[in-house]
Amino acid sequence: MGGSVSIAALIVGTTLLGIFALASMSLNDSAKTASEVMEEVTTKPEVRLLNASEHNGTIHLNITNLGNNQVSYDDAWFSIDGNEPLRISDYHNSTTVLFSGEIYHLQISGTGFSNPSRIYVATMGSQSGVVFT
Amino acid sequence: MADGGASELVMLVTGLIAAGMVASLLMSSWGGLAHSVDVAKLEVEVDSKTDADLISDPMLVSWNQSSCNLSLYVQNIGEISLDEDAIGVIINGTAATVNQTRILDNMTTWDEGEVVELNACPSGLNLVSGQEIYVTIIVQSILYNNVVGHNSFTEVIRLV
Repeated sequence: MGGSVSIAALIVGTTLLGIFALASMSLNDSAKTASEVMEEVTTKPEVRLLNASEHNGTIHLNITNLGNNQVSYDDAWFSIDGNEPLRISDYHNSTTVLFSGEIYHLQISGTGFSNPSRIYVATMGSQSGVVFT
Repeated sequence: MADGGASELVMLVTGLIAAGMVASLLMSSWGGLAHSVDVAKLEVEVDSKTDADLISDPMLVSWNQSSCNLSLYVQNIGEISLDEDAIGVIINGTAATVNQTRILDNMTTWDEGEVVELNACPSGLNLVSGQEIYVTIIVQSILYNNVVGHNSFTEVIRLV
Protein backbone atom coordinates (compact mmCIF):
# COMPACT_ATOMS: atom_id res chain seq x y z
CA MET A 1 0.00 0.00 0.00
CA GLY A 2 2.83 2.35 0.89
CA GLY A 3 4.27 1.80 -2.57
CA SER A 4 1.02 2.75 -4.28
CA VAL A 5 0.86 6.00 -2.26
CA SER A 6 4.35 6.90 -3.38
CA ILE A 7 3.54 6.09 -6.99
CA ALA A 8 0.30 8.11 -6.85
CA ALA A 9 2.14 11.06 -5.32
CA LEU A 10 4.77 10.78 -8.05
CA ILE A 11 2.12 10.77 -10.77
CA VAL A 12 0.30 13.77 -9.27
CA GLY A 13 3.54 15.70 -8.83
CA THR A 14 4.73 14.97 -12.35
CA THR A 15 1.35 15.96 -13.82
CA LEU A 16 1.35 19.25 -11.90
CA LEU A 17 4.89 20.01 -13.03
CA GLY A 18 3.89 19.33 -16.63
CA ILE A 19 0.83 21.57 -16.41
CA PHE A 20 2.79 24.44 -14.89
CA ALA A 21 5.55 24.07 -17.45
CA LEU A 22 2.99 24.37 -20.27
CA ALA A 23 1.31 27.35 -18.58
CA SER A 24 4.70 29.05 -18.11
CA MET A 25 5.54 28.57 -21.77
CA SER A 26 2.18 30.02 -22.83
CA LEU A 27 2.58 33.04 -20.54
CA ASN A 28 6.13 33.57 -21.72
CA ASP A 29 5.02 33.51 -25.36
CA SER A 30 2.29 36.08 -24.67
CA ALA A 31 4.69 38.39 -22.84
CA LYS A 32 7.22 38.06 -25.67
CA THR A 33 4.61 38.93 -28.31
CA ALA A 34 3.48 41.93 -26.25
CA SER A 35 7.02 43.26 -25.99
CA GLU A 36 7.52 42.77 -29.74
CA VAL A 37 4.38 44.80 -30.45
CA MET A 38 5.63 47.58 -28.18
CA GLU A 39 8.98 47.65 -29.95
CA GLU A 40 7.41 47.77 -33.41
CA VAL A 41 8.48 50.92 -35.21
CA THR A 42 6.31 52.26 -37.97
CA THR A 43 8.01 54.09 -40.79
CA LYS A 44 6.37 57.32 -41.83
CA PRO A 45 6.76 58.68 -45.35
CA GLU A 46 8.80 61.79 -46.02
CA VAL A 47 7.36 63.95 -48.76
CA ARG A 48 8.87 67.30 -49.67
CA LEU A 49 7.47 70.07 -51.86
CA LEU A 50 10.30 71.58 -53.88
CA ASN A 51 8.48 74.52 -55.48
CA ALA A 52 5.07 75.63 -56.67
CA SER A 53 3.74 78.03 -59.24
CA GLU A 54 0.39 78.90 -60.78
CA HIS A 55 -0.39 79.84 -64.38
CA ASN A 56 -3.90 80.44 -65.71
CA GLY A 57 -5.51 78.51 -62.87
CA THR A 58 -3.22 75.49 -63.17
CA ILE A 59 -0.98 74.75 -60.22
CA HIS A 60 2.46 73.34 -60.99
CA LEU A 61 4.14 71.43 -58.20
CA ASN A 62 7.47 69.68 -57.97
CA ILE A 63 7.24 67.07 -55.27
CA THR A 64 9.70 64.42 -54.09
CA ASN A 65 9.63 61.39 -51.85
CA LEU A 66 12.61 61.31 -49.49
CA GLY A 67 11.38 58.24 -47.62
CA ASN A 68 11.90 54.55 -48.28
CA ASN A 69 8.30 53.66 -49.12
CA GLN A 70 6.16 54.72 -52.03
CA VAL A 71 3.41 57.25 -51.31
CA SER A 72 -0.09 56.84 -52.69
CA TYR A 73 -1.77 59.97 -54.04
CA ASP A 74 -5.00 58.59 -52.56
CA ASP A 75 -3.54 59.26 -49.11
CA ALA A 76 -1.95 62.61 -49.99
CA TRP A 77 -3.86 65.86 -49.49
CA PHE A 78 -3.03 69.43 -50.40
CA SER A 79 -4.31 72.63 -48.89
CA ILE A 80 -4.13 76.03 -50.55
CA ASP A 81 -3.90 79.11 -48.34
CA GLY A 82 -5.20 77.17 -45.34
CA ASN A 83 -8.41 76.09 -47.02
CA GLU A 84 -10.05 72.67 -46.88
CA PRO A 85 -7.59 69.93 -47.93
CA LEU A 86 -8.16 68.28 -51.30
CA ARG A 87 -7.13 64.74 -52.20
CA ILE A 88 -4.34 64.78 -54.81
CA SER A 89 -5.73 61.75 -56.64
CA ASP A 90 -8.98 63.68 -57.25
CA TYR A 91 -6.98 66.14 -59.38
CA HIS A 92 -4.22 63.94 -60.73
CA ASN A 93 -4.71 60.49 -62.22
CA SER A 94 -1.93 59.91 -64.72
CA THR A 95 0.15 58.32 -61.95
CA THR A 96 -0.99 56.80 -58.67
CA VAL A 97 2.11 56.71 -56.49
CA LEU A 98 5.24 58.72 -55.79
CA PHE A 99 8.18 56.35 -55.61
CA SER A 100 11.06 56.64 -53.20
CA GLY A 101 13.56 59.17 -54.54
CA GLU A 102 11.26 60.26 -57.37
CA ILE A 103 10.82 63.92 -58.24
CA TYR A 104 7.49 64.44 -59.96
CA HIS A 105 5.92 67.43 -61.63
CA LEU A 106 2.24 67.59 -60.68
CA GLN A 107 -0.19 69.73 -62.64
CA ILE A 108 -3.39 70.45 -60.78
CA SER A 109 -6.27 72.33 -62.32
CA GLY A 110 -9.89 72.91 -61.44
CA THR A 111 -9.36 73.83 -57.81
CA GLY A 112 -10.94 77.26 -58.26
CA PHE A 113 -8.08 79.10 -56.54
CA SER A 114 -6.59 82.10 -58.26
CA ASN A 115 -3.40 83.85 -57.20
CA PRO A 116 -2.71 81.45 -54.31
CA SER A 117 0.15 82.30 -52.01
CA ARG A 118 0.96 79.05 -50.19
CA ILE A 119 0.40 75.32 -50.66
CA TYR A 120 0.74 72.62 -48.05
CA VAL A 121 0.86 68.88 -48.69
CA ALA A 122 0.34 66.23 -46.01
CA THR A 123 0.28 62.47 -46.20
CA MET A 124 0.28 59.81 -43.50
CA GLY A 125 2.29 61.83 -41.00
CA SER A 126 4.53 63.73 -43.41
CA GLN A 127 3.97 67.40 -44.23
CA SER A 128 5.57 70.02 -46.43
CA GLY A 129 4.63 73.54 -47.43
CA VAL A 130 5.98 76.13 -49.87
CA VAL A 131 5.01 79.57 -51.10
CA PHE A 132 4.08 80.06 -54.74
CA THR A 133 6.74 81.70 -56.87
CA MET B 1 -2.44 -4.99 8.92
CA ALA B 2 -5.95 -4.36 7.73
CA ASP B 3 -6.07 -1.16 9.85
CA GLY B 4 -2.76 -0.01 8.38
CA GLY B 5 -4.03 -0.57 4.84
CA ALA B 6 -7.24 1.37 5.47
CA SER B 7 -5.42 4.36 6.97
CA GLU B 8 -2.98 4.45 4.05
CA LEU B 9 -5.91 4.36 1.64
CA VAL B 10 -7.49 7.29 3.49
CA MET B 11 -4.18 9.15 3.32
CA LEU B 12 -3.92 8.42 -0.42
CA VAL B 13 -7.43 9.65 -1.14
CA THR B 14 -6.96 12.71 1.09
CA GLY B 15 -3.66 13.46 -0.61
CA LEU B 16 -5.20 13.17 -4.06
CA ILE B 17 -8.13 15.43 -3.12
CA ALA B 18 -5.80 18.03 -1.59
CA ALA B 19 -3.52 17.90 -4.64
CA GLY B 20 -6.51 18.28 -6.94
CA MET B 21 -7.81 21.30 -5.04
CA VAL B 22 -4.41 23.00 -5.00
CA ALA B 23 -3.97 22.23 -8.68
CA SER B 24 -7.36 23.67 -9.62
CA LEU B 25 -6.68 26.80 -7.53
CA LEU B 26 -3.28 27.33 -9.11
CA MET B 27 -4.63 26.63 -12.59
CA SER B 28 -7.40 29.16 -12.03
CA SER B 29 -5.02 31.91 -10.86
CA TRP B 30 -2.57 31.05 -13.64
CA GLY B 31 -5.35 31.21 -16.20
CA GLY B 32 -6.35 34.67 -14.92
CA LEU B 33 -2.77 35.85 -15.22
CA ALA B 34 -2.47 34.52 -18.76
CA HIS B 35 -5.76 36.23 -19.70
CA SER B 36 -4.53 39.55 -18.26
CA VAL B 37 -1.34 39.33 -20.30
CA ASP B 38 -3.38 38.52 -23.43
CA VAL B 39 -5.68 41.51 -22.90
CA ALA B 40 -2.72 43.81 -22.21
CA LYS B 41 -1.02 42.54 -25.37
CA LEU B 42 -4.15 43.19 -27.43
CA GLU B 43 -4.56 46.69 -25.99
CA VAL B 44 -0.95 47.55 -26.83
CA GLU B 45 -1.41 46.13 -30.33
CA VAL B 46 -4.61 48.11 -30.97
CA ASP B 47 -3.11 51.31 -29.54
CA SER B 48 -0.10 50.89 -31.82
CA LYS B 49 -2.43 50.57 -34.83
CA THR B 50 -4.42 53.67 -33.85
CA ASP B 51 -2.88 56.88 -35.12
CA ALA B 52 -3.86 60.26 -36.54
CA ASP B 53 -2.16 63.46 -37.60
CA LEU B 54 -3.08 67.05 -38.29
CA ILE B 55 -3.37 67.68 -42.02
CA SER B 56 -4.38 71.35 -41.83
CA ASP B 57 -1.74 73.86 -42.78
CA PRO B 58 -0.59 74.68 -39.23
CA MET B 59 0.42 78.18 -40.28
CA LEU B 60 -3.05 79.09 -41.52
CA VAL B 61 -5.74 77.62 -39.27
CA SER B 62 -9.15 79.22 -39.56
CA TRP B 63 -10.51 80.70 -36.33
CA ASN B 64 -13.79 82.57 -35.88
CA GLN B 65 -14.10 84.14 -32.44
CA SER B 66 -17.71 85.30 -32.81
CA SER B 67 -19.01 81.84 -33.73
CA CYS B 68 -16.37 80.13 -31.56
CA ASN B 69 -15.25 77.89 -34.38
CA LEU B 70 -11.80 76.42 -34.90
CA SER B 71 -11.65 74.28 -38.05
CA LEU B 72 -9.13 71.46 -38.00
CA TYR B 73 -8.49 68.62 -40.43
CA VAL B 74 -7.22 65.29 -39.10
CA GLN B 75 -6.07 62.31 -41.16
CA ASN B 76 -6.26 58.69 -40.02
CA ILE B 77 -2.69 57.47 -40.42
CA GLY B 78 -3.16 54.26 -38.44
CA GLU B 79 -4.20 50.79 -39.54
CA ILE B 80 -7.66 50.75 -37.95
CA SER B 81 -10.70 52.87 -38.76
CA LEU B 82 -11.32 55.68 -36.30
CA ASP B 83 -14.53 56.84 -34.64
CA GLU B 84 -15.28 60.38 -35.87
CA ASP B 85 -17.77 60.85 -33.03
CA ALA B 86 -15.17 60.17 -30.35
CA ILE B 87 -12.61 62.95 -30.80
CA GLY B 88 -11.23 65.00 -27.94
CA VAL B 89 -9.62 68.40 -28.38
CA ILE B 90 -7.53 70.31 -25.83
CA ILE B 91 -6.51 73.87 -26.68
CA ASN B 92 -3.83 75.56 -24.59
CA GLY B 93 -4.57 73.08 -21.82
CA THR B 94 -8.33 73.67 -21.84
CA ALA B 95 -10.78 71.04 -23.06
CA ALA B 96 -12.70 72.25 -26.12
CA THR B 97 -16.12 71.17 -27.31
CA VAL B 98 -16.26 69.39 -30.66
CA ASN B 99 -19.43 70.73 -32.23
CA GLN B 100 -19.33 68.96 -35.58
CA THR B 101 -17.32 66.43 -37.54
CA ARG B 102 -17.42 65.59 -41.24
CA ILE B 103 -15.49 63.04 -43.28
CA LEU B 104 -14.15 64.67 -46.42
CA ASP B 105 -14.67 63.44 -49.98
CA ASN B 106 -18.16 62.07 -49.16
CA MET B 107 -16.70 59.07 -47.34
CA THR B 108 -18.85 57.36 -44.73
CA THR B 109 -16.19 55.80 -42.52
CA TRP B 110 -12.97 57.28 -41.22
CA ASP B 111 -10.65 54.68 -42.73
CA GLU B 112 -6.88 54.77 -43.17
CA GLY B 113 -5.84 57.80 -45.20
CA GLU B 114 -9.20 59.55 -44.89
CA VAL B 115 -9.59 63.02 -43.41
CA VAL B 116 -12.12 64.42 -40.95
CA GLU B 117 -12.98 68.07 -40.54
CA LEU B 118 -13.77 68.97 -36.96
CA ASN B 119 -15.18 72.20 -35.62
CA ALA B 120 -14.06 72.85 -32.07
CA CYS B 121 -15.04 75.58 -29.64
CA PRO B 122 -12.52 76.36 -26.89
CA SER B 123 -14.95 77.87 -24.42
CA GLY B 124 -13.52 80.49 -22.10
CA LEU B 125 -10.45 81.20 -24.21
CA ASN B 126 -9.97 84.52 -25.94
CA LEU B 127 -7.97 83.70 -29.05
CA VAL B 128 -6.92 86.24 -31.66
CA SER B 129 -5.74 86.05 -35.23
CA GLY B 130 -2.01 85.52 -35.49
CA GLN B 131 -1.83 83.80 -32.11
CA GLU B 132 0.03 80.51 -31.84
CA ILE B 133 -1.66 77.89 -29.71
CA TYR B 134 -1.11 74.30 -28.63
CA VAL B 135 -3.70 71.85 -29.86
CA THR B 136 -3.90 68.31 -28.54
CA ILE B 137 -6.19 65.91 -30.36
CA ILE B 138 -7.22 62.55 -28.94
CA VAL B 139 -8.68 59.92 -31.27
CA GLN B 140 -10.31 56.58 -30.64
CA SER B 141 -10.50 53.58 -32.93
CA ILE B 142 -13.60 51.59 -33.66
CA LEU B 143 -13.98 48.28 -31.83
CA TYR B 144 -11.20 45.90 -32.94
CA ASN B 145 -11.17 42.39 -31.47
CA ASN B 146 -13.39 43.75 -28.69
CA VAL B 147 -10.80 46.38 -27.79
CA VAL B 148 -10.75 50.12 -28.53
CA GLY B 149 -7.45 51.87 -29.28
CA HIS B 150 -6.48 55.43 -28.40
CA ASN B 151 -3.87 57.87 -29.58
CA SER B 152 -3.13 61.55 -29.20
CA PHE B 153 -0.83 64.16 -30.68
CA THR B 154 -0.02 67.79 -29.99
CA GLU B 155 0.76 70.47 -32.55
CA VAL B 156 1.44 74.18 -32.48
CA ILE B 157 -0.81 76.05 -34.90
CA ARG B 158 -1.16 79.68 -35.92
CA LEU B 159 -4.62 81.20 -36.18
CA VAL B 160 -5.84 83.36 -39.04
